[in-house]
Amino acid sequence: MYTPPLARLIEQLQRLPGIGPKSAQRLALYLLSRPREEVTALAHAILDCKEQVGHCQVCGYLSVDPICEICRNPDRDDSTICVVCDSRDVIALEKTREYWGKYHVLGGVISPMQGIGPDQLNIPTLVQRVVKGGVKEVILAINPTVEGETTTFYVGKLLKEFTKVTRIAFGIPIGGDLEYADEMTLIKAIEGRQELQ
Amino acid sequence: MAKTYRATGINLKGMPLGEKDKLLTVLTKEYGLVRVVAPGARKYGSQLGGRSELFVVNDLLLTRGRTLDRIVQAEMQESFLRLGQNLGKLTCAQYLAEIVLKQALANQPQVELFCVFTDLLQQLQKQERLTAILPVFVQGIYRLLALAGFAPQLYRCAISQEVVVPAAAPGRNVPFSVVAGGVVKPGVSAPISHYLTAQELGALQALAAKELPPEVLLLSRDAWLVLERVLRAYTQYHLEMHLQSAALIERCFHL
Repeated sequence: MYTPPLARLIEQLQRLPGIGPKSAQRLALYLLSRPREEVTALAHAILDCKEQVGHCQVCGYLSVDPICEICRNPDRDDSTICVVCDSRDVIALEKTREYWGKYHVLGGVISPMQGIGPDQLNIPTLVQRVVKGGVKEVILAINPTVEGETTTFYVGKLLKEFTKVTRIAFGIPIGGDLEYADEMTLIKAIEGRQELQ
Repeated sequence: MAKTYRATGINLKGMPLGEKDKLLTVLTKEYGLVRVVAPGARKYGSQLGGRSELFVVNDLLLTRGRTLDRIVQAEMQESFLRLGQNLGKLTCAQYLAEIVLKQALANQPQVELFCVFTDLLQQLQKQERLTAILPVFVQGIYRLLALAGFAPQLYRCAISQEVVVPAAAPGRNVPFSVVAGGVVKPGVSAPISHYLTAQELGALQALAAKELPPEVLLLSRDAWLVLERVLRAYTQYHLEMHLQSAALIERCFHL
């Protein structure tokens, strides 16, 4: 149905997350309709990104340099480390403009069923950072799923003897309605209740 | 055929689908294994967020789709959230879930399998000590195998059908053949995968009982790990599968 180069492009686009056959076809035909310079720029951007972006040697966040901008920033608080499972979580927390500590990206959560154990995650470097000293608090900001919970408890247990370990709160979202909250969220919200100051 | 249907099921596996949906594999009492879409489950504040989590039992209202069915409503009946607070418990639960995923049938009632699996999760969840988890877990593997009709032969030689009596001398002198399907008499021509002690054989035989006898519960952690390895090899061979979670078992129980 398609000429071979177009079929190849559709096939490649279909591999992207959230892109089905129809979307892939739409994107491929759109790219064909654009000027050569625009398509070249897109191709170069993808290649440059792949070739240049790696992981920070300290925290594991995405970075062009061996040490990322956040870790290099002298204005950020060295004594607090926020542990997240993915680089996307760093972006989400940075958007809040409320957190001025540093990060540590684990690169996933423990999932025995998928063959991901503690050895497959960026945990040893986190332990090294904490053991080295100077860290007053580690905040565990890992997704509240069953596997995320296991990861939180596992990492927390490892670090507890060296520093204060806390975890982010979870419960009813701001603007939410108790009536429509699911039972799991309500259980967690009640467990994590706080005394009124 | 009705467009919507009701089912009670436990979530065995979940993966992201598109921007905000989740694709769940659910073991239901009424229809066996079903793959369903939990629409918007990954959206912040979604009512399906918690209900689409691993090992949550829900009463579901589902609608049939062209390729995949979708969840219209879900009401949580039971959750095994505390399994996540311990790496050993999560690994055991996911190990058992892998076996269930392999043996469960689609489009057929699976009431017994559903009840056995949820019972195993309840038992795993309530164990406090790490050493108490292993007997429950190993018995769980055996119960699932027995339910599938694959329980190993433990009293008679799997080849000659003669009664196997362990030698009085201590040591590993009971040959077990995964390929032959259980214990074998010494000297029979079958590939031997493991050698068991009389005590380990006794423990394997006791796994069929509803409650494990106290002397079996006192077995050492290493002995339970041997039994797990035997049943793992047996399960992987006869169910033709690779148990991913098994890689973490030794690590969890050798801490």
